[in-house]
Amino acid sequence: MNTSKNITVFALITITVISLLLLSMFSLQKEIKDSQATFSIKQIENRAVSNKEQYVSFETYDGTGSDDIYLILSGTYGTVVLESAFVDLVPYFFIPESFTKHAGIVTYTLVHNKKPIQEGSFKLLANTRNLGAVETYLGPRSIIANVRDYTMLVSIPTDMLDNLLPDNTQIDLKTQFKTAITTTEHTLNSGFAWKRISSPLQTGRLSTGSTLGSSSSKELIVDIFPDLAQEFSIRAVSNHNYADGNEIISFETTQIKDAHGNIMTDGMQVTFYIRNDTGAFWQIHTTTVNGYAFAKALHPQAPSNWQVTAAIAGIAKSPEISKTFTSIIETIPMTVRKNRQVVVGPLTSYLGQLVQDGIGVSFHIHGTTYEALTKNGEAQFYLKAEDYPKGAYTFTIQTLGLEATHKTTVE
Amino acid sequence: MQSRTNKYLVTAVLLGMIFHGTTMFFTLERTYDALIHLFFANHYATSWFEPWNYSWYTGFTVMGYPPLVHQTIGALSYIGGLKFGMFTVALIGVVLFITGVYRFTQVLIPNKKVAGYAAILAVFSSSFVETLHIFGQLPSIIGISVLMHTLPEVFLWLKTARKSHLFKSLALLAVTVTSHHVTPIFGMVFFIFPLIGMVLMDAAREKVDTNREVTFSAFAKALSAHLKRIIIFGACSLVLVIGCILPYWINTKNNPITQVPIPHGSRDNFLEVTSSGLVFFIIPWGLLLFLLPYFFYRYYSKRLLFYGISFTLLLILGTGGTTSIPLKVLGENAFNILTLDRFTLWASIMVLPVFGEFCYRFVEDDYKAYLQDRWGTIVHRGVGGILVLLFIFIAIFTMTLGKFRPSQPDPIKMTPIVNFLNEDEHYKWRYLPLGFGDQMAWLSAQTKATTVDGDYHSARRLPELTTRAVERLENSKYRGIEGIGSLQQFLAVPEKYHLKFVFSNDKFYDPLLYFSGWHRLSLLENGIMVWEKAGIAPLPSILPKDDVPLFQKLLWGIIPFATIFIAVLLHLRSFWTRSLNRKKGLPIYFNFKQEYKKIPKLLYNSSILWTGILMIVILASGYTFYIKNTAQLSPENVVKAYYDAIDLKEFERAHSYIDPDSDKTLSQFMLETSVSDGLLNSYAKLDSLHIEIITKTDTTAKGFVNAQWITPLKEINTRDKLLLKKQKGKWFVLPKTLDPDIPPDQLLIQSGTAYYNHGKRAITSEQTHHEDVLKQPVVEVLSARLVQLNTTYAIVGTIQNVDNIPADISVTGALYNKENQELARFNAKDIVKHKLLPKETTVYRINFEDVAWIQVDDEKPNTFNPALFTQINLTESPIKFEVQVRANVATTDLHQAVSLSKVYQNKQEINGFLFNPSMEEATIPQLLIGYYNVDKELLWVESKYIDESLRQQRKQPFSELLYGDTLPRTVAYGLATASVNGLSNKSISDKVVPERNDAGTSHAFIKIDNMPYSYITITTNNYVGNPNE
Repeated sequence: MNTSKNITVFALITITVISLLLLSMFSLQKEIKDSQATFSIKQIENRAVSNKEQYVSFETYDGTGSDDIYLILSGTYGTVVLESAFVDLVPYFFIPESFTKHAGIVTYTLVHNKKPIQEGSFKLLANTRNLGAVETYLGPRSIIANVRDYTMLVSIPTDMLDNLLPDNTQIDLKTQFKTAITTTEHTLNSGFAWKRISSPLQTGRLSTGSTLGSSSSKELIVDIFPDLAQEFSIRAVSNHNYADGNEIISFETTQIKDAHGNIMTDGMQVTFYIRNDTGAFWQIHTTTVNGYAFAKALHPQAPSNWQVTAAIAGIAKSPEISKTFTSIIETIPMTVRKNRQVVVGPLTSYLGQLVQDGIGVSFHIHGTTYEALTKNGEAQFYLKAEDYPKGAYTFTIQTLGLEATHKTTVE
Repeated sequence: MQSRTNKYLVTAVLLGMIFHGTTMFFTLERTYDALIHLFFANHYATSWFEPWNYSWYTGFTVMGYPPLVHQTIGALSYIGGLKFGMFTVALIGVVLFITGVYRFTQVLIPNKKVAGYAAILAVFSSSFVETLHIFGQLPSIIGISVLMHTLPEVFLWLKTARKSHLFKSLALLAVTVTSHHVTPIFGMVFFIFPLIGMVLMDAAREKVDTNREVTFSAFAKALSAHLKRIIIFGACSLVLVIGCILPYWINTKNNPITQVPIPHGSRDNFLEVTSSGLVFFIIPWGLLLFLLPYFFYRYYSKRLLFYGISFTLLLILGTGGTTSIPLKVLGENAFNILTLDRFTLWASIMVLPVFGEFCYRFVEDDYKAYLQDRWGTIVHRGVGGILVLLFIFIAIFTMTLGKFRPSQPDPIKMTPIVNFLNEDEHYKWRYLPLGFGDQMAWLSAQTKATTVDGDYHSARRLPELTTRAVERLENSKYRGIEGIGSLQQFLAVPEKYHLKFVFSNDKFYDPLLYFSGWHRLSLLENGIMVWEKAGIAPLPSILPKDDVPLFQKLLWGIIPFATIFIAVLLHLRSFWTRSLNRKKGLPIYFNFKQEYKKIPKLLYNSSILWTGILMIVILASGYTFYIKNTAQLSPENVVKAYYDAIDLKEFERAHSYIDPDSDKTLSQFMLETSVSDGLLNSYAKLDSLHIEIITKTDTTAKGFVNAQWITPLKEINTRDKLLLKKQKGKWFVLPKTLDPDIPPDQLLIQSGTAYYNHGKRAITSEQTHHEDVLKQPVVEVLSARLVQLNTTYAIVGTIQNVDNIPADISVTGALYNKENQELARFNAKDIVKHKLLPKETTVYRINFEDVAWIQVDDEKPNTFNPALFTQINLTESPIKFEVQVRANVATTDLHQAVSLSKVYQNKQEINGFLFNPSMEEATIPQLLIGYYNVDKELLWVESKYIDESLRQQRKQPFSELLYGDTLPRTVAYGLATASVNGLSNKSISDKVVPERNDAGTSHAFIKIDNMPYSYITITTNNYVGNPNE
């Protein structure tokens, strides 16, 4: 019995102690909660961006100054963790300048003893009164003078701290071409405004710019290049029509223009194609200067007829013209010297003058062909004793489009 | 015996410092290796503990070479710059070498005077001169010199078992290990093993009374007595060899050398390649060859027997590929990695002690008496004088060899290149030097820009390089197809390596650069041409590297200098005692001094016989040389000399071989030469010459010369007929006739269009302003077709610049399988016109190249063929393909200097004339021939280079063989996958030329009969070497 009473007393004491302990713990926890409630900051108002640091003051501050209290800010710049600081014994948070420079929404969290106790957000607004540069982008930087092509101007005005301006801000986008200046008003959307500029139908330079109040963009320029070339025609220019192999014949195009009358850009390739009556082929690449292209070719060495045409690959071509070259001599003069030396010439040209050096002469004998070039109007062939023993030979000479057959006896 | 300062040694050191110290300023920078060591030194000077270097091979580790010498130069560079460091280390090397020989000689021949003689001879040793002044192998010299200093200490440890000697020897060995890894490994075998043998001999000799009693059993007893010391020394040195350069061994294990063997002259058969024989055998041996009988006699004496064996081995190994013995001894692997000249170097150093002994005996001891007695005083002195003069002459000749046969291009002023790389952030791209020789290392040491090339081939990582037996890209022309092939891969796909700039010091490569789509940027004031490739992205700011653990970096940075420190500390005491405590006795090896007896008859006779044989060989080879090389002695010789002179552009010499009776004066000859330009005349290197002399009387001959020329673009075979004539005992070449053609106009007047791009208009180091970036020209792919020819694939087609500004295009093709997996990707190299005027069209062909000969057993062609390329080995058949074109604004090389004239088909050939209507000389005309089927569909494209240049207003006949095989099969075609500047080709073709017609395209076809195709077109292109503008 005595022991059972003892047990009851013990149990009572134990319960009392435990409940007291629980009670004290509860009250202790409440006290922590109470102590948290003693810190809070004033609501942060929306404000303009600034290149100075900004302060946040406390609504309540019930601490010793060594409290574990932080303000975490998160915005376009990134996230910063700020410690409180005292100025004249008044606690503040100072938001650094690197943070306040960037416009955007900032969320903040006040943290005490690693627990968030207050949250909120505010806006850093672009400074519309202090404007910075208007950035413009233009592309493509060269367009074609036709109805299909266009370029685009994008304008991004900023405040002096390089922040985008709010939507619906009015901005002027301007273009100039020749005498016409066009100004169109646009409103910003997501910080920028854009304009599609259709190509004028004339070549030249189109300037663009953009202004917002007193602030202006750089000048950006787009080149207007001519559209595809239209058909053109060609003509031949030469001093004479003789097939002397030593005169330059020039083929010229008319001025090549596009459908709107714009002259082709300098340096455009025009290719001339020539075929003669034997089917041989010429191909001369030229480039235009002020819309004209000039091709140069050597006169042929034999009388022939040329069919000439010029083209811009895949785009335009000229009608075919023909050009005829006439022979400079009627017969081939020839002498056999010292029995074995065949001298072709003197070859003379249309005035009776000697042909220029370097005219090709072919000499066929016994199935063998020898080639020589003239010097001072003459080409020489030597019948070597080891190849051509004594006897009668027939040989053919070809030069300047003529052919002559002779007989000789070697002794 | 009182120890005195050896006046011979002092003389030798002073002589050495004067002789080498003054000359090295003229030789060292022109050597093969010195500048490479300088580059490594610069690496340590800038980042001592970081082994990764980005400058070469897209990054490599310097742990591939023992660092001590480089670190020393690097440390000294803080005092007076890198070159100061290099010269200081070289001078230290000279002193160490001379004193090393002195100490080494004392061990072998314990006689101070002999050692002094050897030291003086060492100064003029031709192999040492060659290693220092021609090869510039500083680490090798330091290594062997320190090793020679080690040997006395090893001897003393083995003999006396005094621990201080063990520590000293190990300390010196550690210095050797950290300077050069090969030296201690082979030094063990060739220098220390025989030394051990010698110690045992000496120990055996001590136990008995006469030399004769040193039997095998006596030797074995000595061995067992010394075995413990030998093992201790051996084990410790093994630990040092591994431990001191542990990171090196780890690196070697992790990155085994995958490099295919690079040919080296020291592995040649010296009898076949006489130039290698001269450089790697005759010069290093020099006068020593005459004394071989004496060396063998001395080294096969009982005490030096093991040195005899070692010497014989070295002598044989040094003969390279002359016999198959070195290959068998070393094994295939070691034979192909090692340069065998080092064996000759070691052999010739090994004989210096006995050479010193011979000279001592010849000058003042028993030989003098014997010879004076036999020949008389005057002959003896005369012979002595001649030998001394000859010895010094060979040394001087060796040193100046680099002057007579330059192994390096003339020194290049690097400042303009360094400035160029620094300006406008050019260092953000990789560069490639061409024709710089080993000076590229000096350039790399001065700039932070990086290159894909490099000058330490064991460290290469790019398979494009490791699979080639090419030393460097920059001198690839000396390696034929492999060299040019390697270079072509880098030039054709430069974007892969961020390679934007090429510095060309050798115009040989210029045509290759031009036709691969590069253009000249500017000529620097030092005469280096800068070539640029448009549209290459800069290097990323963070580059990959193979990092190593910190402990390795620390070991690498600290141990080498620590070894010097320890070695010096340990030796301080003995320096002290040696210089002050004169009373201390001589080292123990002086107990084994040998008394000289009379000359054995056999030695005398065999020496005389040997000298006789050598004299006969020298005279015979001299006579053969005279007969073969005297220019006008025979028709063959004069033709050979004439072509040689033409090849080397020594036109005055070439003219001297021309018949003096002909009217070809020197000025006429020079004039004709000066107007002939082109691939063959200006960019060809004579590869082989085959001369047939057909008819020959006493005074006349007719020769056919088949010459093979290497050019960067193709191989040219010429067959010339030459008439020869003998006059007054000399043969002459009769001159060829000249084309008499005269252009029509004297003065040409022509207007044209020129382009200029400012680049950055605002002078600022900021990124280029948006408005200064030009729009990429719009080009259009007109056709594209994947074709298959046997097992190879190619993409062919046509491209037009549809913009109003000139375009510089680069065309990339890719092949895909059914699952759209990429199988291969490559760029059109030279079968495309890279610079297109507005509205100009070009055909193109993309070959798919693999890294050539990636399989070691692939057969490599023996002859050079620049057109040859290794087809990529496709595992699957490609089904689909893609063509990407990137265009940038072109402002240069837009000359239209070649037009076709009177072109017609002649059976299998296309014949006609090329006419130049422009104001520029077309140095190398190129014809791109497109082959079309009957439906006018392009199936194949070929490129033909014309050998001769085409001058203004002149015409030149051409004749090119048409493609003769069956046409390739079409696998796929169409433009659906073609893209230009990242846009789809369709969006361009729809917008720019929507109603394309057949203007021009229909006119350009040339009808072809009786061939597997029906039409061809010819696109002309030209490289203008010297633009007028």
